[in-house]
Amino acid sequence: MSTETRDQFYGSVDPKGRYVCQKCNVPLVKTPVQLLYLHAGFPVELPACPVCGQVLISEDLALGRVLHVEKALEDK
Amino acid sequence: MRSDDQARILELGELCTQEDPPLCNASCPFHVDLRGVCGAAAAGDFKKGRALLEQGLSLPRMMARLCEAPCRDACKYREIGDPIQTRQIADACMRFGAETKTRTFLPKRTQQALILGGGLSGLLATVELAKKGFRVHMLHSSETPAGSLEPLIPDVLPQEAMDGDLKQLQKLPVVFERVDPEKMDPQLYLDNGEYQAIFISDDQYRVLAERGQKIESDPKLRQSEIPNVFCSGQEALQPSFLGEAFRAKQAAISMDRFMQGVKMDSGRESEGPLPTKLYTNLEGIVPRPRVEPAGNQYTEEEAIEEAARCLNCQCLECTKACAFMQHYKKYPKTFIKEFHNTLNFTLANRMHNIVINSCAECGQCKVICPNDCDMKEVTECSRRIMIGDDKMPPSAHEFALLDMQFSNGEEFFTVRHQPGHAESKYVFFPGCQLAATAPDSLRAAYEDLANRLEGGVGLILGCCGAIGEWAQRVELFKEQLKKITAAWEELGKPEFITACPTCYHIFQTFTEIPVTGIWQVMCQIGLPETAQKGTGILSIHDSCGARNYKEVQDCVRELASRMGYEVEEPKFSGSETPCCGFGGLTAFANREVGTEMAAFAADRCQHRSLTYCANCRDRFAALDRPTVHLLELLYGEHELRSTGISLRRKNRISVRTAMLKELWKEEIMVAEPNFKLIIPDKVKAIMEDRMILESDLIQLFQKAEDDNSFILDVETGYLMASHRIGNVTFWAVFTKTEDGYVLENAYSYRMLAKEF
Repeated sequence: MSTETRDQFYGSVDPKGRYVCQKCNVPLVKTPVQLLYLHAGFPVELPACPVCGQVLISEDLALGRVLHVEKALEDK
Repeated sequence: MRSDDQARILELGELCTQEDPPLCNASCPFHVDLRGVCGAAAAGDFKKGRALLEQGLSLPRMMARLCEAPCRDACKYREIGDPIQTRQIADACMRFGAETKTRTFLPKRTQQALILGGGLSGLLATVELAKKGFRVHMLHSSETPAGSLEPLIPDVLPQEAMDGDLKQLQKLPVVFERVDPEKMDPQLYLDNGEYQAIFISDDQYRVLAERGQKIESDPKLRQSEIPNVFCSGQEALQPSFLGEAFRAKQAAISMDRFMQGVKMDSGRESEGPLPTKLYTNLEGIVPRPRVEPAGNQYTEEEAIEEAARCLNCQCLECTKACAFMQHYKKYPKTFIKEFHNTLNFTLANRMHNIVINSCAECGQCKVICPNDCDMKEVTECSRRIMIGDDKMPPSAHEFALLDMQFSNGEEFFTVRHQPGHAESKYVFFPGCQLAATAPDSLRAAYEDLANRLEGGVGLILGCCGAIGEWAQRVELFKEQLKKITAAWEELGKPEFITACPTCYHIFQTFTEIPVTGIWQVMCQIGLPETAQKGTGILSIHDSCGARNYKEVQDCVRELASRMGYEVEEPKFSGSETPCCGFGGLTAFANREVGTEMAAFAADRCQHRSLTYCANCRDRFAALDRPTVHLLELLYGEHELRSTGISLRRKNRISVRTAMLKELWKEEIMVAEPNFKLIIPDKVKAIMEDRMILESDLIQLFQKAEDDNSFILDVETGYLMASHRIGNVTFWAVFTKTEDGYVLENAYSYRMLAKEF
């Protein structure tokens, strides 16, 4: 999995076929997603199912940047 | 109201006296930091001691020889022995300490001051004004500017001390001039326009007074009836070196302002000796006699030894007993200032949110403080303000608040008369945490009470609302009280018997429900048959809930003693007991500080601790500190381990289900999932750390099964699924078995991910 930053997104994760949605039986693909918390929103690109739309946030991301941003917003 | 809370915070801040000066500093009209001087000297750092003296005094070497030292008279040590020889220590600092080179930039002033007469006050006024950039013309009729000090040289006042002090005048615009005595009359200089202000030194004042010329002056500003003439007034006739020096300083400040045409009297309230409220505890200090110099002054070693006797007067009483304050290395005054700033002036990051959420609101500091300063109330006010301003971090207390709502929700909340009774004289309210951590103690206690008390013992399972009160969710707290009160009324207003000191406190303080503790009841009706016959010593750890209830503390000791135990009182016991870190929800908002609190509280206990709050017991056990709950002594002991958040939920459900089934013959349907969830111990530990409940994951799997929303990680072969419950999204990483799942990992976050 690679993480790269693009200008218009705060972060971008390309799953490169690592995850497969069992319901739709298709690989998750890099999809524009909005992360929302406490009146703030961040456009990012995350793996999501192109059919049902289920978004995946990995443990690394959840306990890393997501937690960091949550804490920062809570103390704003 | 926000403004009331804010005002109250500041009001409480005034009660903390730690920043009040020590007695030595307060009694000194120049407010020399003598505590700092002694501290530096004790460390052998005479240079620092000298620098502190130079900060406070313009003639430090001379004052260190001449001062009458009210600091020594005021010294706290006097209460237990010889006061610290402050003047001699100061003198040693001036002799042994190297000069600190400072570059000062003199403002250029055109005005010129005239100093009439030498001596200590003449010299001091000269130095003060010259250092402010004024041109100073000093006239003296004595042989040297030392005037009345001349006979004291060299025995009392060594020449080098005076020379050392006057060295600072070398590059300043000062002219000393010896003149005939008849030229020393202020009248001669009033109208010549050369001098904008005139100071009559005490030496010269005494000469003029002898001639019958008595000039009055304002006792603070030292200004005479002639506006540009300043002097000590009649006080000059009372001999005192310190008085002379201080009056000259007062006059110099006034002359500076007078010559610059600014108000002379503003901002001068703190000049001169001041009262101080600084409390210093002398307990345990073994007084040592003062160090007598072998010669006529201290050697370096003697000065160090004498300075080491200084008590370094501080209060810090509350900080000695509180792990929260120790963690942040602060005392109430500093916390209060920082809270106030965070709540009112923060533009960027609110660094102190977490600090506000780390106080246990246990009330210990108020009991210990000689002045009743109360961080509990400060914290309550601060949290209310944060909530009102929508600045309370949602993650701080949400888990605990949901747990409270669980306890008062359909899965646990229960109200019953005793089986076979239509009325209740009493009702047992064990508290939510006893049910969570020791369900069999709860049941045994209930059955014992129901057996031995006449008139019916009902049962209410629920939470008193303390969690809402700690979080300062005022409305939520009121709702819980309303619910409990309604249950009490439904049972015909019986007397509450609680097994939780915090419930006891909450009902006593916020409701009209008559409440007693199981401790008092046991004292009255005697020990149950199952009670231990113990030997040995237990260290009592009182609960912060019982802080203000001596009747509770006494009963617990009485019961332990009846069982045969000897009770040890650790440091800070009874009303001074520290919190285990559950109070104030510290353990939820700041686990690190919460754990430090538990360790601090447990480590005071020299023997196995006897607790009577379920949380204290659980938190001590989590740290492997030997502990036992009073109800365990009465009804049987458990192994020493912490319960964990998932088991706490399960225990509440299962004790209720079992009691209703077996005592009330009521069948409760508990929905069981149609799959098996296996959670290996290492994953249980991860879930505990991340505050993920087993019940959260059961919901997650049920939902994933319903909509088949599994994701396969091709790289690891694990399946993944997620579910949002309330404000949190949970993820599970697992493998599938024939009849369920084996959990590999779990994590959560609060952000909401939405497709564009």
